[in-house]
Amino acid sequence: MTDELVMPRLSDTMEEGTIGRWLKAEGDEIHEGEVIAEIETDKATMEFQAYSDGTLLKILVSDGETAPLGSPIAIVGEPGESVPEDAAAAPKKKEKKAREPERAPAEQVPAAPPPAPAVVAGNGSGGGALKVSPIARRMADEAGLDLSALAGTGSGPEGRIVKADVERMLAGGGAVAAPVALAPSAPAVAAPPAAVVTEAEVRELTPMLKAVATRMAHSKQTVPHFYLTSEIDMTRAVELRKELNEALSASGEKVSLNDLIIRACAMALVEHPQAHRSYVDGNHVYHPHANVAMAVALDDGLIVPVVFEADVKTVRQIARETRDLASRARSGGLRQREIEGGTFTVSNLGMLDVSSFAAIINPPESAILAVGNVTERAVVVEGQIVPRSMMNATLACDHRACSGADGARLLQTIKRLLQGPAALLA
Amino acid sequence: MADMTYREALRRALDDELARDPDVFLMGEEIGRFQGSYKVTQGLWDKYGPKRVRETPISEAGFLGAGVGAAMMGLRPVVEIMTINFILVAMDQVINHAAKVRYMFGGTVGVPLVIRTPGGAGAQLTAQHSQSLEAWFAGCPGMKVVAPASPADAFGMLKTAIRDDDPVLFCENLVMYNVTGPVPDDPEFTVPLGKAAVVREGRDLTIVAHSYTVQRALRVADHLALDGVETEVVDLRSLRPLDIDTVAESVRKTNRALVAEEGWSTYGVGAELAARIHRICFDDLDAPVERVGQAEVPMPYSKPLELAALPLESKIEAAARGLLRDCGVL
Amino acid sequence: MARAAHSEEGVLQDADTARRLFRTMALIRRFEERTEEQYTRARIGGYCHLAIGEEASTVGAIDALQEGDCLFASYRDHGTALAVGSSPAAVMGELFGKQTGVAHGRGGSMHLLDASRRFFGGWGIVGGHLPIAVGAALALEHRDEPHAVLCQFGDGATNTGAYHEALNLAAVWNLPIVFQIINNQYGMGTSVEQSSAEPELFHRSCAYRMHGERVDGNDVLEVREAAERLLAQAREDRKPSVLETVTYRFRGHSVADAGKVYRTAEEIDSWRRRDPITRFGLLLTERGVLTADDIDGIWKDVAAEVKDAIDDALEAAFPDIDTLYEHVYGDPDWESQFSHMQAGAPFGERGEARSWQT
Repeated sequence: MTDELVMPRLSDTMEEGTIGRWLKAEGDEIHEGEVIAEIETDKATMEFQAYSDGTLLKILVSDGETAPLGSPIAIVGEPGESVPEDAAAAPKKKEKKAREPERAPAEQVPAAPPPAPAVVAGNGSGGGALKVSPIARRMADEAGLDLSALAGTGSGPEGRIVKADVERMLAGGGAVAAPVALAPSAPAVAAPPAAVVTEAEVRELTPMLKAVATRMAHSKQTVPHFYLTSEIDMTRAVELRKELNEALSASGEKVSLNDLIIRACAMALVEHPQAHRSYVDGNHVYHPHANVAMAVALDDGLIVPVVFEADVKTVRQIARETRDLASRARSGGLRQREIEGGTFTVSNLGMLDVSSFAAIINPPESAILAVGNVTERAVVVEGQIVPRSMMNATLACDHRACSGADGARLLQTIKRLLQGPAALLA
Repeated sequence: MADMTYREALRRALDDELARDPDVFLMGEEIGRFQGSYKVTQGLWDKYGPKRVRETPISEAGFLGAGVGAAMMGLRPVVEIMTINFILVAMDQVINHAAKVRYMFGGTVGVPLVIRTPGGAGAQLTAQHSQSLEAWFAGCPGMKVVAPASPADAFGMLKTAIRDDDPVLFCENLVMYNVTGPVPDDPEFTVPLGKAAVVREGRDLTIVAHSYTVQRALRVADHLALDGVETEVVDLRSLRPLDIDTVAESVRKTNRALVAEEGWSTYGVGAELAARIHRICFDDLDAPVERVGQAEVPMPYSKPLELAALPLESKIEAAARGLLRDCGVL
Repeated sequence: MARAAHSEEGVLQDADTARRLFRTMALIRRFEERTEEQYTRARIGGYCHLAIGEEASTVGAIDALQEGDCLFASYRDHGTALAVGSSPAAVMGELFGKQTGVAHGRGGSMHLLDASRRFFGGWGIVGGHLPIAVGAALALEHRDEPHAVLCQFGDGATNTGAYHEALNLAAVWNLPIVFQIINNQYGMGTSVEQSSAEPELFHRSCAYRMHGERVDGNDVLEVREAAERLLAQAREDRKPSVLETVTYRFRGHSVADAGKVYRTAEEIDSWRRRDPITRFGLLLTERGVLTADDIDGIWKDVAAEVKDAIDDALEAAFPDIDTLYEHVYGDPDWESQFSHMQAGAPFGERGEARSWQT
């Protein structure tokens, strides 16, 4: 019975071996344990030993020839045995490093044209792809909404359209509303006459309105409010405003009464730290600067951007800021950091003819000033009845943060500054 | 039902199982006369003696390996590694041995071993003593890794782990030992491995967490509620097996996910959850999954630096707010 | 594995034991030589560590084990498995990666075992199994079983941390275990002198006030006598000990290593001349326990046994790939525990396919 010797695995990475030289010739006897050939592997030349006794009948792969691992390299058997005809030699290469000749370069197949950009759902223009979150896209698809109108103006990063945007679209909200974190206080504004509705319509609150609702309810439930009212003579403030606007007319800048009020509050707050501090978790937190927030009404809702460090800003600076903030508030362009961090709020409903009102404190602030309209009224000055521009201001305070006297002192200073407004320019 | 601390719940579970099964025994440093470095095993040495509550020298590789060997022989050892930081010197015994034995040996022998160990940070214990390494083990086939976040779960899951025939890494937390909660009296009360729990329901955001981070997540949820955001908090309870079904169900509802952990986010629990959530809930997502973990630094000593590095509520909340802003909410 | 004889003389009087010792060593030798051949035929993959030359150290000690004793070994464990009584076909089957292998093809050369005979492997990490062996001894102690553990490992393992922790624990807790250092004088390519501050390895037990002794690892009777004595001490007195058996491996560390880069031809030859099997055969024929024909007969017998083992292993089936995930976990509840982890996994499942099942 003849047996094949195959190219042995002599290193764990070898895939083929080359016969360095046979140490035995055809017809020789071989014994178990004898080294019968030297084989070159990828790592080194190794000794190939016989694992059993026998006679080397035929060499299939000669010196210098290469064969893959496991392919037959010789036949062994009993002396004189005939070798089977079909003892095929493994494919041999003369040169261990010989490679197949390079094929003629195949005909160049023209590359397929790049696929047309996928048409994005809702993007009629077929231009750049619309950035939409997966859930927003799904909701829009399900509702048959065309999102192209919102392209690039979604609430997500880089204008990505997100679920909230689609929700607003579905609710008929129109323009994307600005994000809201702190909802300021304001009593319900008299709504424009609504269309007559025969059946009650139930609409879920948008996140912004929900936030306002939760915040205000929480404030009313947990903050012990008390209220102080004052009548402030704004005559000189009105005059100052006129003068300032004349001086600034060239630059197009305008100062409003509200800007003067904000400046007055800021200066007063730093003068009265006990009326400025906040009550938080059993501690009083003293603020180094007065960050005065101003309430801006939206079509449906409210937003309260902050004028930071108003105590060290000029009236002109404040005016510029409030103008920018108000305009961006209405267009939905406010950033989160612009509506957080306030230490006091001014809420002005004078433009809607309210003469006086009491506002709800916006925690963690500890006070809010509600001002009404400026009207000409008859007042007594040094025994004479004279017409003066008067404004009602109501200060709501958190009794855990300040006492009645603290609040009163603050309000007194605000009044003094507005009635002697040159001080605001100091 | 009785209120007790997480620590007491663990002790009761150990006591019950020691009484129930003579093959159960404890091994660890200072668990006997010293009553346990975190007092989990207090009283057990007095009650069961030194053979059932076996104190060891400082030889984690030695006694954790011994736990593997004893388990292979059919006993049920519960090995305590004083803190998860010290498991590193016995890593070979856990990963190369405990986790591999059953499979490597063709299923002919198993390792019913429990390794109990607390992780966590916040007491200025510095870099080598402040790690949370459970993610490394949760990635290893053959291991089971759990992290109960309440006394009831600690009680029920430790029992299940001890009765389980596979090696379980039972992750406790240093701060949580003092957390109090109700625990059923029934000694047969067990909590299954591989099942997460929704501990707070909400519609706007899902926060996924395990161990002490669950407590932080719940407080963050309270703060967010003041702004009208309702947060759903999922307590994973088990890292391997991982109950991704419960997480996916939540994300399908809220469309927004944040994963918070005490360990490092890079290659952490959050990485695994983010990959799976993206895979399963791709069409439900309003934004990519957010991750919060310890700052990618060795934990510093100085208190302000440590606070800056820890995944405190304020950081989790900031990340949540960032995510909500990206979604036009807040 | 029950033994009657205790002393070398006793063994020489007992022809059955003598024959058994010789035959087992011859079987291991033949098996290992054929294993090397099968490796070069690419039927065995990965690492393959041969025990050629170390037969006496393995067989002598294992022959002293009694039923109920536990055995742990390193990755140079083919001889160990055969000495314990596992079938050569099942061992070769494991080397071929077949379902019929002792670990059903999942372990390979380094992870052989025979749990029914308390042979608990077969371990791949140098020194890693020593604490585990201590754990087994701890279990015997816990259950008050009158048995002992024999833990075999190489000289290289004595430098690992696990070695020291294991010896310390065994000594502090008075565990029934014998640590056998099969010192073949090289840890891979590094000699004992180069790597061990105390090259007389049996001395290292004194750090733990543990008894240690050294014997000629190529004298199967000397090994057997020492092992029997120390195992009895472990069983009866709960005294652990270290037994160093000095031997030599004729081949390299593994099949991939010719063993000639770090050793001289003279050194290898000088040890070959002291071949433990040849030596024992000469002793037995000199003492008239066996004849030269008996010896020849035994060699032919084991050759046939090994050939049959190879044939069986060749014919056997590979494990079904649908069983890939079996035996990762064994708790009866494991499938239910993992049932919620199916989806979104990174290992290729799509759609309905479950990762844990076929």
